[in-house]
Amino acid sequence: MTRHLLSLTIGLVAWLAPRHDRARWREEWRAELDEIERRRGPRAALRVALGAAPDALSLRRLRVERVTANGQQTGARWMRISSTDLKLAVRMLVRYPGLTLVGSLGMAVGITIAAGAFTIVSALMDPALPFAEGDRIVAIGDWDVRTNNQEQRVLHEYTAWRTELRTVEHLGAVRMVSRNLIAPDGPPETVSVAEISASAFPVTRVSAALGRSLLPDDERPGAPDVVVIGDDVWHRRFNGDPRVLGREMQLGSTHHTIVGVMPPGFRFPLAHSLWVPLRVGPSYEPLTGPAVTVFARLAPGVSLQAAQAEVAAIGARVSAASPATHEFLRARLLPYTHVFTELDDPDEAIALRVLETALVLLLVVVCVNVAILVYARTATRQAEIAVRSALGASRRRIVIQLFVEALALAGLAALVALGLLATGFAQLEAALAQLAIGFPFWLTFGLSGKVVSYVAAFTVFSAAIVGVFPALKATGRRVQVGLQGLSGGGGARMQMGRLWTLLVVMQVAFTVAILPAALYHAWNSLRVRASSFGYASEEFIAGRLMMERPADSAAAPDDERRFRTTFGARQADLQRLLEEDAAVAATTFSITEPGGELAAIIEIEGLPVPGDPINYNIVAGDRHGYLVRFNRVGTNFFDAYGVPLLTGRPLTSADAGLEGDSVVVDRTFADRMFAGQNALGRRFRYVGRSREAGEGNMALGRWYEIVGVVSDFPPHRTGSDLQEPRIYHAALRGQVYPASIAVRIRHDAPAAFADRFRALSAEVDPALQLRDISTVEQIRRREEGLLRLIGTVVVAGMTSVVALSAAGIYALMSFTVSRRRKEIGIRAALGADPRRILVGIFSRVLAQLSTGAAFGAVGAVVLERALEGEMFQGHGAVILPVVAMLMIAIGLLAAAGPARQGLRIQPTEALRDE
Amino acid sequence: MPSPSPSLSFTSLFILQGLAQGHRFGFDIMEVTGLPSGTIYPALRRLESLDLVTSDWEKDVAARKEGRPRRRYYELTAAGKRQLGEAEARFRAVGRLFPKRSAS
Repeated sequence: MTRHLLSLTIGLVAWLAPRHDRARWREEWRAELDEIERRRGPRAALRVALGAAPDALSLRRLRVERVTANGQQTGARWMRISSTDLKLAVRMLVRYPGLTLVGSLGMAVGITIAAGAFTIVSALMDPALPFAEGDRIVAIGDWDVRTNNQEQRVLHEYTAWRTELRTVEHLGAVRMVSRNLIAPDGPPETVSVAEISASAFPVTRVSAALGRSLLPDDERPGAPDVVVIGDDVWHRRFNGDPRVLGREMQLGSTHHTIVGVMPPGFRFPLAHSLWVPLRVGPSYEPLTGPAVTVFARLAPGVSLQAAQAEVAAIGARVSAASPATHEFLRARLLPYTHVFTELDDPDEAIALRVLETALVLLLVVVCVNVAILVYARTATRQAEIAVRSALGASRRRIVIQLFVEALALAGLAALVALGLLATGFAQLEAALAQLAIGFPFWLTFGLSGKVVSYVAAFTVFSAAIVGVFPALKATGRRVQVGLQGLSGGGGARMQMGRLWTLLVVMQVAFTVAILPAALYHAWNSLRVRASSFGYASEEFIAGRLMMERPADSAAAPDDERRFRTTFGARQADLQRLLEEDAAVAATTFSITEPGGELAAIIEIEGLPVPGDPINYNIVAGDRHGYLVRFNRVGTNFFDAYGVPLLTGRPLTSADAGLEGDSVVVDRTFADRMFAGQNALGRRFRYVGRSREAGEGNMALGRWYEIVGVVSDFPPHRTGSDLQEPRIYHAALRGQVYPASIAVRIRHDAPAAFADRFRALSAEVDPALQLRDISTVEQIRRREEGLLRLIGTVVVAGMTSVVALSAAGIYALMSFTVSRRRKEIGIRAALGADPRRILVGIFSRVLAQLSTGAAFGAVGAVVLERALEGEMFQGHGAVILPVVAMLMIAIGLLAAAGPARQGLRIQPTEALRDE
Repeated sequence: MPSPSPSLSFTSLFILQGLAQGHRFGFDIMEVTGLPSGTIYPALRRLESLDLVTSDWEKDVAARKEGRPRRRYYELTAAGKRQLGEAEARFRAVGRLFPKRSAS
C-alpha cells in the first residue's frame, strides 16, 4: 500500500521537474525511497518523500537559470564587443590609411551597387500600390500568347467583365491621352490626361480634397464635360485658389468644368493628375475601340488566384466565341503594378533575380580582394595575435576583434555607400522625371528605411568576408609560431606558401580577365561625356508633333487616311507660321531627331550577305544583312541643318513616301559598304525591322536606289567604329506621324522660343500637340544623363574591382617576398651573388604572375566569346597583352622593394635573426 | 573555463564533506548529515550545476543482484575537492563534524 502511495506521489511530483530531467529524477527518487523503506520503514520513506516536491522545483529553477544564462551567452557572445575592440578598430583605420582608403572605397562601391540593385528590384517586384490595401488592386487584360504582348483593345471583353465578374469590385477602365492644356493666362502645354471610369476613385479609396471625384453619371453620353484636377495642377495653374470649383479648363478642343481637386500626392493610373470621364459605347466588336487599361479591386475575402480563375474562365468563353480575333489571346488578371513593370512573365522575374545575384557577387569579389589585403596585414600582426593568445585571449575573442576591425572598415564604406546611393537615386529620379507621365508614380527611389537596412545587411555581410575569413586563417595555426617569430625579431610568419601562390595566380587571372572590359567601358563612357553633336545644335529647338485622335476612331484605313490628311494640313500650317516668324531661320521635320535614327537590316545588291546574324532587337524579317539606321525627312532637312551634299542629288518631293525609290545615304554608308567606290546607282532593300522602327515607317523587301551622299550627320558621338550607316528617305507633310519638328532660331536662345512654339501650334488647332519640346542641347544632355549614370555605375564597379585587384597583387607579392627577406639576407651574407639571388626571386615571382596572366587570358577569351565580341570590340589582340603586361609589371614592382631590402640586410642581423 | 569560485553555504559544505568521506547517494548523505530530504536533494542539484559534484548511475547488474532499483551515485569533482579543502582550512571544525565512514 505504502509502496503504491510512494510510487504515485513520485509519479505526480515528477511533473514538477523539467521534462528533460523527469525520467532520471523519477528513477533516482524511486531508488532512494526504496532504500529508505527497506532500511527505516514506510513511515520514514513517506517523510523523506516530502522533500521530492522542493527537489523537483529546484531542478526546474536550475534549468531556468541555465537557459537564461545560455541565452545571454549565445545571444550576446558574438555581440560581446568591448570598447577596447572599437578603439583598436578605429586605431587600425588610422594606422593603415592606404588600406582604409582602398578597402572602404572598394566596398562602398560594392555595397552601393548591391543595395541599389536590391532596392530597385524589390520596388519593381512589389505588387502593392501606395493606397489602403493597395496590394488588392489588380489589372485585367488580354495577352497574346505568341509574343506575350498585351492587347489593349479590350472594350469588347470589358463589357463581359463588367457584367459577369464576381470576384472583383469597382471594375473600371482608363484611356491615357495627351491634350493641350490651354489657358488664357499662360502658354499652352501638352499634358497627359486620364479618361477614366468613376470607379477609379473607390478602387484607390481616396476621395477628393475639394469638391468631388468623378461619378458614374459623368460617364453618360451627353453629360456635362467635367474634370478633376490633382493638387499639383491646382497649385501650378490656379495658385491653390479654393474657388477653383466651377471654373473652366480647356483640354484640347473641349472645355471642361472643374468639379474636384484630389489630395496632394495622389496619382493614378500612372503619374496622371488630370481626370476626365471615360465615355465608352454600349458594345464593341472584338479588337475595336481605343486602347485601355482595365483595373479593379479584389472583392473582400477573395484571393488573387480565385479572381484569376474566374477571369480565365470568362476569357476562354470570349475566345471561343471569337476565334478569328482571339485565337491567341488569353485574358489574365494580375497585380496592378505588374502590368506596367511587365514582371508577370516569370522569365523576366528570373532575369531580374539573376542580375541581382550577379551584382551581389560583384560585392563578394570586391570583399574577397579586401580580405586579401586585410589578410596580408593580419599576417604582419601574427606576433601580436600570439601574445594576446598567450595572455589568455580565446580564438573567438581574437576573431571578434578582427571582425570588429573589418566592421569598422565596412561601416566607413557603408557611410560612403549611403551618400552614393542618395546621389544615385536623386540622379535616377531626375532621369526618370524626364520620362514624365510614362513612369509609374509608385516607383520612387530614395534613402528609405528599407535601403538603409539593405546597406546594413550588406555591411555586416562584407565585414564577415573581410574580417572573419582572414581571422580564422590567422588564428587557426599554432600561435607559438608567432611567438617564436616575435622572439626572432621577425613577425610575419604565417605559413602558407601554396595558398599564397594560388591567391597570386587567381588574383592576376581574375584581373586580366576582367580589366579589358573595364577599360573599354570606362573609355566609352568618357567619350560619351566629352563629345557633342558636332553642328550648330545650340541654334535648334525640336518637338514631337501629334494630334488628338477621337476616342472612337477605329483602325479603319479610311479613318487613318483622313486623319493623316488633316494632320498633314495642320503641320503645313504650323510650319508656314513658323517660317513667317522673324526669329525663325528655318524649319524642317523628320521621324526622329538627328542622332536618334531607327534601326533596320538591309541587303545590298551585289554584296554578299554576312553569315552571322545581327544581334539586335529585330522583330520582323531577317537578322542576316547589314545593320543600318534610317530616317524619313522633309526635303529641306539637309539645308535646314546645313549638312553638305557630297555627291549626287538632294531628295525631292518626287522621292517622298513609302513608294519613293530614291534615297540619300551618309558618308559612312558609302565608305563602309562600297569601300570608296561610287555609291550612286547602287541598290538595297530592307530585310529586317527593329522594334523601334514601327510598321508604318518602312517597307520590307522593296528595292531602293542611292541618288546622293551627304556627310555624316550628326558625327557619331562615340567614335566612327561604332557608327552605323545612315539612310534618308524623303517625306511630305502628313507622311510621318508623329513628326519631329525642328526649328532653327536666328538670334535668341532657342529655349526662349518654346512658349511661342506651343502658342503657334495651339493657334493652328487646339487638337495639335507639341510634346517633349526641348532644345537639341537638352536632348543631348538627357540622353547622356542616363548613359552617364549607367556608365558611372559600371565604371565605378569595374574600377573598384580592378584597383583592388592591383592592390591585392601588390600586397600579395610584397608579402611573399618579404617573408623571404631573411633568407635573402643570409644567402647574401654567405657570399651568394646578389644578381643570382635576384634572378631566383624574380623567376619565381614571374612564374606565378605569368601563370595567372595565362589563365586570365583564357578566361578573357571565353568571356569574349560569351559576350559575342562586346568586350574587346575586335581589339583583343592589343588589349589583352597590354593588360597582362601591366599586371605582371605591378607584381614585379611589388616584389622589388622587399627584395632590395633583403639584399641590404646586414649579415650579422640576418644570422642573429635565425 | 573554470567556474568562478562560489561562496558555499554550510549546508553545501556538509554535503561536500559527506561525499568526501564516501557517502555517495542521497539517503546516505541525509543520514550522515541529518539534514532533511527537502534540503539535501536540491543542494546536490546545485552543487552538480556548479561542477563541484558529479553523478553517475550504478551498474544495472549490481542493483539487480541486490534486488533493488539502481541508485544514482554522487562524488566530488576536482573543483569540489579544492573548494572543500579551502573551506576546511577556513572552518577547521568542519573536518571533525562527523566520523569517517568505515570501509564498506
